[in-house]
Amino acid sequence: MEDLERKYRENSLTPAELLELREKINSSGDGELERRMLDVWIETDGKDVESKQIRRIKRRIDIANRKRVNLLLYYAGIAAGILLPILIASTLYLYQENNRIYDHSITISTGKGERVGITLPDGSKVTLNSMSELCYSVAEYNKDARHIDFSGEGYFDVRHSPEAPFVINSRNLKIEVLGTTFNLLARTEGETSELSLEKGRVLLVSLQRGDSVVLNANQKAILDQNTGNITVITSNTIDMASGWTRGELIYRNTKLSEVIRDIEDNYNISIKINDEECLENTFTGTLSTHDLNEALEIIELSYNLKARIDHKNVLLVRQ
Amino acid sequence: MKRHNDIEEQRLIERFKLGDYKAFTLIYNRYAKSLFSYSLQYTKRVEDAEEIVQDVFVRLWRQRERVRQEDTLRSLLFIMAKNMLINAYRIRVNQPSYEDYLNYVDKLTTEDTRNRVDYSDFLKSFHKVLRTLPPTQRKAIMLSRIQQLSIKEIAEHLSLSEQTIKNQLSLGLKKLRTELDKLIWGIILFLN
Repeated sequence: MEDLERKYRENSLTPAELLELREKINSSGDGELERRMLDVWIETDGKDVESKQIRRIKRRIDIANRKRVNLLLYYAGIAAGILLPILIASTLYLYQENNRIYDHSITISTGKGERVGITLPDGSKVTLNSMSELCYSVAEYNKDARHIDFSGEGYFDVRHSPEAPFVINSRNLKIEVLGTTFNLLARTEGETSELSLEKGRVLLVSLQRGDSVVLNANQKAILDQNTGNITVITSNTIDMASGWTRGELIYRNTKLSEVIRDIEDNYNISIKINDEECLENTFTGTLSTHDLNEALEIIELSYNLKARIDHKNVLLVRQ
Repeated sequence: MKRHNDIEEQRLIERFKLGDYKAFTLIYNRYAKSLFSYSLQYTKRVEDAEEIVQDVFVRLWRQRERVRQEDTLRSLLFIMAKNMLINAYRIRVNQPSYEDYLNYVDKLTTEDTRNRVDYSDFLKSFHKVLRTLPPTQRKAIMLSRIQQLSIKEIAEHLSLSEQTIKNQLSLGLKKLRTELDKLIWGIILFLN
């Protein structure tokens, strides 16, 4: 086993060995993997790593730690004439002391196909996906409590501050966290809101029913917008939900109508399909956030459709 | 690897806990390369390894007050990175595209080049070449690699026989390899 893992690390596995390793990994618990990985870590040095690379990462760390300032804001958008979105997320640094903020509340919102990373006054980071909005007032975000209003989809990395609970108000759902990392999908339309928790713990309250649920790492909570019920499931691939922050849209048994909507939002286009029944089918797979043609092709193949593209409009026709 | 003086490190930790960013930078300079190299070995992608290093050190700075004087930085860094690494490891090992990558590396005969073709570059080239393949070959490969369908499922999907699918996959992968060779040798020569 150690031998296989060493070969994996060195990229010298044969394809047959990969299959063997795969089976062994899939039947091993995290504790086992961890033990072997720790042994490897103790012996690791970074001799072959380029200093330039390390310095570049350090610059980003300095910005996140507010030791360096980056006032430029880039949006993910569509390059004119070509339907290939270019995703460059950067950090918007908000100065609380800045006199330019005249009113007392701050709203950040993204349009279709846009994505932005922001840092809140306490250093918590949020990446907003397309069609999302985050709003907070300077009075409500401080040392005693951190309240925000939110709709859409965001990836949250909340700074740990026990004296100041971080509270999110979204449609029919209130979420309280201390310090944690999670993906929240809470669109204003949509039959469910979903929170996929990667690290930490959160408390969710269903505002319609008054029920509350505590979520731990690697759990996902789904709020049914119709009934107000919250269901909790455990997943060891919980970071699938935040795949969009890494350039991937990952789906498992998701309704095609939802997938289509995500593609529309991500690429800022409009998709019509002439076979309504199709939309009820489920889709499993991974789509890129950078290549519309490939994403459409996978949909075409899976459902026997043909896409006709006209600028920002796509029509899917049953074959 | 006890290259570093333990007392020196203890002093660094002391200063770092008190908010000395220079001490933090020194700590970073000591361990970042190791963490990066280590992360890359499991995640196989530079972007993922960078993200892990960044994430761990940002958290380390934010949580500096909770670091105990007796903690060794080496084990602390491991604890902070391990969940991300285990996840990445599990996902990569199961991905068909990683299998393709190994198949590809397997065919390259020179020992040398094995280390030069990293997985990220391979993926980009793979997708580039994929777009140039004839339709049925491309479709078969996409359904197999991206949608992770079986030969039987692909055959049903495209209304072709399983044998035809096998042939199309084989032709497609062969063409991919030849084109990838050209592309990647181009990259290797360019990097030189």
